[in-house]
Amino acid sequence: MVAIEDFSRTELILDRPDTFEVHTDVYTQPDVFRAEMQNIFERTWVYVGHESQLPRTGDYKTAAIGTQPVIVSRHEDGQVYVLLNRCRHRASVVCRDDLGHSNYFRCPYHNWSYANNGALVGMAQANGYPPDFDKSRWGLHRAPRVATYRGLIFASLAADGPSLDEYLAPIRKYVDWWFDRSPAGTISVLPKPHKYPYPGNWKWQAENGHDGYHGNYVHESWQRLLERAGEAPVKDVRKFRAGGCTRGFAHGHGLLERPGGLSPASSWTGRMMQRYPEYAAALRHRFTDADIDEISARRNIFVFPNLYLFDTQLRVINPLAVDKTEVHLYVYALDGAPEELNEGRYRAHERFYGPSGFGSPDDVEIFVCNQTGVQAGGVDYLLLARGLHRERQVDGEWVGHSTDEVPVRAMYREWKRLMRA
Amino acid sequence: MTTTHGAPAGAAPAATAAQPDPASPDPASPAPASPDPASSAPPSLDPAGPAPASPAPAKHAAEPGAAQLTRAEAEELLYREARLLDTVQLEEWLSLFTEDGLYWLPIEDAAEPADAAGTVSIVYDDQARRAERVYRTLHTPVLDQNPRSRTVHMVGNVEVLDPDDRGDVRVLCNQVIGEIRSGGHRQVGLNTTRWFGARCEFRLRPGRDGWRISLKKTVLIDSDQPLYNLTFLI
Repeated sequence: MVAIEDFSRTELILDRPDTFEVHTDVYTQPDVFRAEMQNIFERTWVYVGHESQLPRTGDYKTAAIGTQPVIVSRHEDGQVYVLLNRCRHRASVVCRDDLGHSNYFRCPYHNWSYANNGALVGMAQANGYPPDFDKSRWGLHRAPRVATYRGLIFASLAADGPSLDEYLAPIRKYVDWWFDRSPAGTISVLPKPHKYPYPGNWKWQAENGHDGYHGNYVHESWQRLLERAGEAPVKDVRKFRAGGCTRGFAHGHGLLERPGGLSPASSWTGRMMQRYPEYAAALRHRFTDADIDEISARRNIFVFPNLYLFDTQLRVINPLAVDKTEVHLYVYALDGAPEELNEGRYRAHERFYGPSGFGSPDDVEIFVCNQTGVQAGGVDYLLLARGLHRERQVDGEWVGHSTDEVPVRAMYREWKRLMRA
Repeated sequence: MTTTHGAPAGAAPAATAAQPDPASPDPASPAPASPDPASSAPPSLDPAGPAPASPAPAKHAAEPGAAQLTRAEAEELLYREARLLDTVQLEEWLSLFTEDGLYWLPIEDAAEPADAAGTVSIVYDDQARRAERVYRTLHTPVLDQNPRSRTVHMVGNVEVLDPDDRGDVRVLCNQVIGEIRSGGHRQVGLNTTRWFGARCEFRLRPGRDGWRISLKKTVLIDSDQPLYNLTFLI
């Protein structure tokens, strides 16, 4: 493990009572990136997939933990295994698909075959190895810990550390409310995600999803579009969005929240309850009005370090290099909701998100603007102190105004802690 | 293994002109949170039903053999469509479509628009959504088209096939599309030409004013790959 002190450099995160600043190097230096992969992505819990993508024995998908290629596969014992996608013989990948189904993984080089749990079950011309060759020592390397919460599959390459339950505990109730928009309490991920790359650091995306400060400016065109469509005049959108808050949590999680409500005027959930009485009935069957008030609040939830829960998609941030990132947007259905309601969500998703959306590409434009700006020297630190003076600690959470940088400070506090270890 | 249209390594410094005015509203009124597409969608934009299954009957249903299109006529329309896109005459481009027309970039190819039900596409634009796309590009302070894309559409391999169930004539073609956004020196994300290859299916319907497009389906050969800034009209 490479501790940040090994670089003998200036303090990268200034966490002070009167300021919070982040050093340029965290976005530009390859050695910092490598340390992030080792100290963060290969230690904490990393999101690798959703159970709805692997319903049957033999189903698999590929993913990444940091920059390490992995296979997420369901074995005949019903468990999901996360395996390094690397043959133990001569290091070829044994799986090259995004998504698939197979009873085994076969290496294309010398036909070594592995079961869905990674066990080595066969090699071609095995007489080239002594009779006492112990196959059980040469299976695909397994992530030592794999755990799921409500279908979200996480893996850790570290054998020890907080359990997934402990890791998610600070945000559990928000995650639960997010799932409870579904009458069944579950989601089903659609097979083909949107994907966009950008030539910039992964943390620009991580910071942006719970940024409530940029909407008026980066998404002014979106607000004009809504105004043109008669959906909301710009000033009303801005006034409406004055409510809500930001929250920061232990373990680097964070969220941006806007208030909900049961009336059609106050939230999407409220509108859907009005339009689809069966949806309203399903929610009311399980939840009180106070519950639905929370369920209907719109939250972008960041699960450190690589997952966002959005209204229409699971967003996965894939770091490739210090200045290269791929973002995958997995749209999902709310199980048990009317088909029309879900189709409406897919059209709404296409309208804003994705490479041709009317919103996301403006965010991505900012990421590349950032990656150009950090090439300018002589200014060592970025200022992430918005709302520092009015940040409150409430029940173990940091809470701030909806435009404050509370969530990104929570992220960097955890970043700093892990990078020192 | 992954092909991406990687945005180019930066070119030169100068700040881009025409950034949106950093409007500073009354400091007492806090700026809103990130936009909220799902909860902003008005009743009129949440579709009345799932992705179009059975389109409305054509106004001028072509009977077998009745209205035909030669390859030359098809090419003329396709070249004109390409020219309108390349010269950013987008209002005129909109008028090439029928009212029930669809502009579709699937992630995974499918035979019929109705097959897109239950999935997301890169673009799945009915008339209203097409108009929004053009409006945002031409009349709002978008960042992702500032600077604006310059494109060239090469159209070839044109084949005129039999009509579909509604009598709209099917026309296949291949397209190679070059695109660049030119900006200041070493600006990350600008200043490199990108090339896209696509296989397209158009469906054309005759009318009083000539042939109109009831379907433009563009299947990029890398439709399932990470795609950077596809906000220009492809």
